[in-house]
Amino acid sequence: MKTTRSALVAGAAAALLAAGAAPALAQDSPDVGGGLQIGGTVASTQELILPSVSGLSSFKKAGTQKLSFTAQVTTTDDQAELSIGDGSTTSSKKLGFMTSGSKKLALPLQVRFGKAAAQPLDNPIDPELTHWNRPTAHEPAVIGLSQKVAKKAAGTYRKILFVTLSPATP
Amino acid sequence: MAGAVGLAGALLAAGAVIAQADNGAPQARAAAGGTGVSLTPQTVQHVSKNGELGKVTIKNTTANRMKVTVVIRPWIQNRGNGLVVPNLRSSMSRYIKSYAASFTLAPGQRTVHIRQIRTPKGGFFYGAVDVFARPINVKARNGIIPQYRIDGRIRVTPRRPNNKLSAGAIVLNGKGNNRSLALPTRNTGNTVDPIGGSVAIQGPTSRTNKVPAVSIIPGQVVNLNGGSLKGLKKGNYTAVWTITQGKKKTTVRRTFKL
Repeated sequence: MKTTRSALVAGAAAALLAAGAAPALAQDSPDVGGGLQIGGTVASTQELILPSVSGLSSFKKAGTQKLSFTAQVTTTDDQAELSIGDGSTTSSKKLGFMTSGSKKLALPLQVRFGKAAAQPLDNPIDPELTHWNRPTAHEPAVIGLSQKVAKKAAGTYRKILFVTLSPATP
Repeated sequence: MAGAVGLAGALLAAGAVIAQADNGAPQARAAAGGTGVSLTPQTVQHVSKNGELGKVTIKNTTANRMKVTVVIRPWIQNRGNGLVVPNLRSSMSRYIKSYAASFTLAPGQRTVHIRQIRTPKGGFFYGAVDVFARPINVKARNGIIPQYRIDGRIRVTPRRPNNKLSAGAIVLNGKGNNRSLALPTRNTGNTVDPIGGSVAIQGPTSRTNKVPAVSIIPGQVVNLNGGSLKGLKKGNYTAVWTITQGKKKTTVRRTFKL
């Protein structure tokens, strides 16, 4: 399936002109386009870029540890959403909790997007972080994670997270 | 200083990680890298038939090899806003399957074929091409391990499209000036043609609101948004909903009291 994005190309052309790429057109200049239609067609696509992340593995003091990383999203769809969920399990008691073997922390991992309120990851439905109502190209999305511990927790903990990019409409 | 700010901006743009602990303890490390997975095209659409329905290309632009799994899943639709997410507890593999369904992908790309094995119930299906990619041999085995999931759409359309809907009782959401109107609507047809139109509110105060179009999965119910009721006087009202689905127009009349 192909999606025409000539509006984007036209927008880019307008931006170039606005930036002064071709500011000196004399009144009697010939049509620089020569009547050529500017446009293009790109295949519909979705791309998700994630950085290498490390952290929140050990909890040697009581308090809240935070970690944030930036995902980048490219989509040609008019509506797309980014969500995050537990990748280790979909239903057990460990859903949303950092684990070390059979142990788990007392409180669930929290996730937030931008300045929105933090949401616990122990819900059966993955929290939606954000959504876009337009095509995007390498749009950054800052994902914040926080883990609160009441006291020192022995061992090293881990949690696999699914960062999901999906169309918002069927 | 400006350079540092610029560098920080560049790092963020490249997908950087920032970590801190509010008790001042040094914690997580930062690592940057342009690592990504893409799915092209976003939508595979074909009239229902056993055999190949289409193909998608999965591209791995990271430096790591990935373990990739492709599963066809049904959607779950939010009744309030019509947004969809794949149902991770369900698979359509009895009816529609990807070939290969699971493989190791080195940096580069691979084409996956989607085939219908049996005709889905009703002769149509609207769901997700759920691509899960897990980096192999990543060093981070502890802490947070993010992995990729990218969903595309698959639309197996019926041989004979049929637009049909049924509407329920009117719903008033919110209170005071935030009160709004909604009409629970079930798609009893077999297409995902957007359903929308307008609602004319008649009573002590009259107005017409636009009803934003929503694609409803066949069999599902979504509350069509009839807009704000702010400024309407108390009394009995009649709402006449004029709803278009594809080329079919339906009029629904409902009463409500403010």
